[in-house]
Amino acid sequence: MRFSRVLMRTAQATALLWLVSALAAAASVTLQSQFGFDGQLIRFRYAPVRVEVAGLAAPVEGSIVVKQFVGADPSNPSTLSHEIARGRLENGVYQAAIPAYDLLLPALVQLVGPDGEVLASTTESVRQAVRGLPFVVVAGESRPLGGTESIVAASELPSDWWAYEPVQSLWLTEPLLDQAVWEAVGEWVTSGGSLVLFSGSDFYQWDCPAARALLPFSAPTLRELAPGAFLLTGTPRTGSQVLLSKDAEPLLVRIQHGAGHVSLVTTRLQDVTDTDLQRISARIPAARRPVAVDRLTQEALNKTRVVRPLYAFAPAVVLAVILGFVAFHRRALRKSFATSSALLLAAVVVATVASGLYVNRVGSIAYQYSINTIFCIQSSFTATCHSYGFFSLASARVPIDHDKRHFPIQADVWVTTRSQYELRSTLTQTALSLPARTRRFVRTCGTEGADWRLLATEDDRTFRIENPKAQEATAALLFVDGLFYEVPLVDGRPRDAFAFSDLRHVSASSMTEQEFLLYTSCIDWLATSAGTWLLTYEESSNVSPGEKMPEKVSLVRIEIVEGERT
Amino acid sequence: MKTHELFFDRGGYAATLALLIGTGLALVLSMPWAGRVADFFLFPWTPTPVAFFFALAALGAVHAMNRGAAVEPLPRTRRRQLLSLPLQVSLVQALVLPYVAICTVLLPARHAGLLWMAWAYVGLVNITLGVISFRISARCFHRARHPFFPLFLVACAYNFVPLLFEFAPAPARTAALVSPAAALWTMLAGDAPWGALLFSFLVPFSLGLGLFLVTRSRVSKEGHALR
Repeated sequence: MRFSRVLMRTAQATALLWLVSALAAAASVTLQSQFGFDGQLIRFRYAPVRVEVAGLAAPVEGSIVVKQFVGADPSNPSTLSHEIARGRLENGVYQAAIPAYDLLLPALVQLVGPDGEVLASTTESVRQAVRGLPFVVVAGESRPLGGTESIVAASELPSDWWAYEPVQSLWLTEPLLDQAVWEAVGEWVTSGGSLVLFSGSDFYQWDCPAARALLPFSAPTLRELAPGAFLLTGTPRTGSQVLLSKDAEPLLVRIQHGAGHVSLVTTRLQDVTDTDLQRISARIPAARRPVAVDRLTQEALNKTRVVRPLYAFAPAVVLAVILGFVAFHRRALRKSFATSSALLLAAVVVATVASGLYVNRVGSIAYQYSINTIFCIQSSFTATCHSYGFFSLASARVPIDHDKRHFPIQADVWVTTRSQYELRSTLTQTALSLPARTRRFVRTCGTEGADWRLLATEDDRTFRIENPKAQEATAALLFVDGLFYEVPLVDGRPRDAFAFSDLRHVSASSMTEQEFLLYTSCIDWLATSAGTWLLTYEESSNVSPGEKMPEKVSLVRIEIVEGERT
Repeated sequence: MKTHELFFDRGGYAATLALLIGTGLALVLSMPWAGRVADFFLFPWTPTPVAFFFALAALGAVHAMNRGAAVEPLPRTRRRQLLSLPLQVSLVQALVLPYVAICTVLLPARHAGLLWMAWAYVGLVNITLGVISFRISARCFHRARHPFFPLFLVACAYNFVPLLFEFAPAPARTAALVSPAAALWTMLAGDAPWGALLFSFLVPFSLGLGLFLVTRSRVSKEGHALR
């Protein structure tokens, strides 16, 4: 009896202690959030989000969730949530790139405890900061560029390349020291971004392998023009162009990387005059987004064959049964009813078994169709997009597995955001609703590498293809000096080694369907690229029983790999 | 009276043909005609096996009640007619077997069994409706009245009155499954518990068997009385 009383008291004391400590930990917790670049973003594009947690007495198990409220009816909005961090959370800054949707209502950021209790929350109203067009982001010290640029510190730049989606061009005017951000900037450039680098004497502060890979010079060196004024020079890389010069020295040099550009200003921002800055600004190309893949997915989904038996089969069987019955009726009038019935039943059994066998061979009608187009551009950096298209005959819920914080974004812009467009993202999975007979397109971005590798000799006369995963390809093209060549396939794979003389030049009109898809997916930027590129196309599809209804899943993989010199 | 006449006279042929054409049309329209996904947006159409089974239930009920209502004046013929009712319904059910086999493509393979269950259920309900129709028509025959309105009312009551139980509290809601329409819907939805499915089958089975036995003994008595 006494023992149980002691046990009870201990339990009560422990519970009280837990409660007090939880309250103490939670009472002073504060959240601060920032959406976009300097608070600026574009609807239906990714936006970087920074959430700063402060005041936690001790680390807590929980998650940080960002909720956006969308829908035509502001009094009853639909919630789109993104979990940007989970696990043991401490005081500090948590970053992610999340898709920005309506944002007419303030977004809600919550620190959620292990049992779902909200430990702290804050709201962020970005309605006034939403921009209609891509904008210039200056990381570091700024000088007037038209007054519309967004100014951030280099240390605040996001480390996911897709977070730069609303950026027209990124100007790095102060040294960027974070390697992960350099990688992200490189990947963004590869996917179509436009980067402006100011160098001069600042070069040594931000010099790193990732930065060097982006420069239009190999072996860059600093040359002192005047006391304190340095100029970055080096051996120009193939494809680099001097766009502006000053005093017979290059001032602005540009090179293409993947689908994007790097524009190098050879001096520091402080050493550039206002006039030169305006000249430079006028020559910076706008970033491009890899939207060709979304268009491919939409076309591919529309062209996806419906899994069903031959349509004429059902009418043919119906007609046969009706004619059989009429014949039976006429025969039974004149001859034995029993014999006629037996014949009719035998015919019905044959028709049923034949129909069953045919139907079994075809399988059930597929109610849900999904297509995943993987588009991978690989040069010194790798940028990958997964473009998904979904269609269902009945309402369904579609899960998409993705890497941590690689949240999918709606790829087709809705005319009106309807409340049934539900979306809920955890760190590694997003579930979206798919109303009946509706198509939905989403895109995720990542950095996973290509399966193929192209090795070319210095003179581009001999090529070797490495394919360590033994992937198959339905089509393969080689892009050399602005022209496309068909790569010979052996057993569904490009030949390991071949000479330039073995290749057959193909134009858009003489390409196969898959080759043409490859061509259209990259022609708008690859045509201006120097370098040698391998383009591969692979597609596969299968019908699976699905959790609730049969599903046809198609996979298209397009890889665009820059050749490496051997 | 010849067997052929027993099966097809007095509208039997037309009712059977109407059933085969009607259900065939429902089946053909249930199949998605779209060859590619984009075609679904040109003319929206959702494939569903429910349409076929509701057509089968409705036209099967018309056929069964037509056969039940074809009451002959002679007690001996009438007895034969009653005994042949299950066979007449079974013949029609057998004729639609190829349709059901095709209909299975409209559902995931693991749900195909439900379609055969629904097919059997429709057959059972139609036999019961045939016997009910026979009883009502025989009574109307004695009173020299046309059986159409009583038959119509009974068919409507059997199908729709139990649906009122849908508004009742949860335990009593099962009574709605007495209605063939509700039972078919529940069956094809694929998530009905076994108890509900068993109840759905038991109602027409016990009702049909009971009425069949009672009617048979009454028809036999009429025959004996005439002798």
